[in-house]
Amino acid sequence: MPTWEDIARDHGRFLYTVAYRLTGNHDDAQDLVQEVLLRVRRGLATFTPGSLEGWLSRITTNAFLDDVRKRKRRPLEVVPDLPEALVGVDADPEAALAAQRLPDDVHDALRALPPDFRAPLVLCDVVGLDYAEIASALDIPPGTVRSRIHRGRALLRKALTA
Amino acid sequence: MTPHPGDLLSAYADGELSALERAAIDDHLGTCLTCRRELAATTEAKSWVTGLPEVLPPFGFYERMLLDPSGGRARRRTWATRIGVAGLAATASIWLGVLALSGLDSQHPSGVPALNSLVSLHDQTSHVPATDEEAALDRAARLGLPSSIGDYALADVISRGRSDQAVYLEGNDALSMFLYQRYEIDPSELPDGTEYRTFDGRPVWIVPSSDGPMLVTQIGPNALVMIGSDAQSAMAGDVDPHTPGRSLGDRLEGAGEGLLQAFGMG
Repeated sequence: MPTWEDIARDHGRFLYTVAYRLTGNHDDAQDLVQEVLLRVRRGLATFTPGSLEGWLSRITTNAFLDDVRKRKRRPLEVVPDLPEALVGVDADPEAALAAQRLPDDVHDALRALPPDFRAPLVLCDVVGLDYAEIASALDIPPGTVRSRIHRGRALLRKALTA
Repeated sequence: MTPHPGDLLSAYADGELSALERAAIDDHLGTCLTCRRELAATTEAKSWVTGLPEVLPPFGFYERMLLDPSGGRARRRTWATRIGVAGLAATASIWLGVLALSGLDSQHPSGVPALNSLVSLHDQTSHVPATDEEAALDRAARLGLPSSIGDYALADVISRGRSDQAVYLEGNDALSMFLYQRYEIDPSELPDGTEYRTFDGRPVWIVPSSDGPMLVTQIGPNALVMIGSDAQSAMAGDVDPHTPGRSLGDRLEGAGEGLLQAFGMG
């Protein structure tokens, strides 16, 4: 059974990366990690062997969303309707391939997503959890996970190809 | 043609579909250019996020929390002792709170900082640009200080032993925050003319000076002196436009309380 210090030492960079991608800035990421380590310390006794990083990701995401709700941000912001097709009929595939998305641009676009769309996307594409794990982590149905991930990616495309 | 799969395309890209579902979508993609392009676009968007690099915390962030990898209550004393001996200027409200509550260092200074000298320091340093902006931001992050206060942006962090001065600039206006670690304000030693107020539930003393009113307050075990025309607004208002409803006092104090509780010291 790892101690919370082992977790901080061995998984600290992973934790911080997830926290940073969820919160969007270093100040809040540090606060989130500190809160996560507190919850880890309290919850270690109940941890059953399995995916430690999955467990940590769930704690991190829940702490993040708890903080979002506490700050009275609307958990699900209204997003505009999207056209069915995301790519124009006349899109130039070579130009699309040549377009490099700078990490900062992607991070900014990710940060701009409503938290309820950002969280499943981070858990899927940053942490690598599957939909069932994400559904469990966020306490939402798998179908909702799927639709929020799809919509989140559509919003990223809209932000980065505008 | 079978119906467009919609959000199933993301599940397809993520390998979340059953073999039967996948075959159905393959069948549809074979005849639908629109969905093939949408799948490509979805897959591309996924790659942007999966391609994001690892993010490193500020230098020393975890070291400040770990210090000693051995276990038990003995570790807490070792941490506290190391903090006292090393004089680490870590996130102040966390570490110095642990130290104070552990009882190992009960001889922290008390009284009032030399406020007149702080006015001079504020005047001398507040318009000198930082030589290393990245180091200043890193130092501020380690102290738990924000990178901006309203419209004021962090310009420099100057360390002087047990105290640090963070300088924030907005155009030609400057705001200095002097952070004194493990320092207990003794209100009886504040100068004549001091006005007592509360901001965000915290006691604050407004001290008159030649440079306008100074704001003196206790945040956890540390003392804070702010000099600048907008000191009161900074103390009362939002620190970061991205986190409305979060005051400077919250920012400096809240992060530390959780870890104090974790060690049974809260």
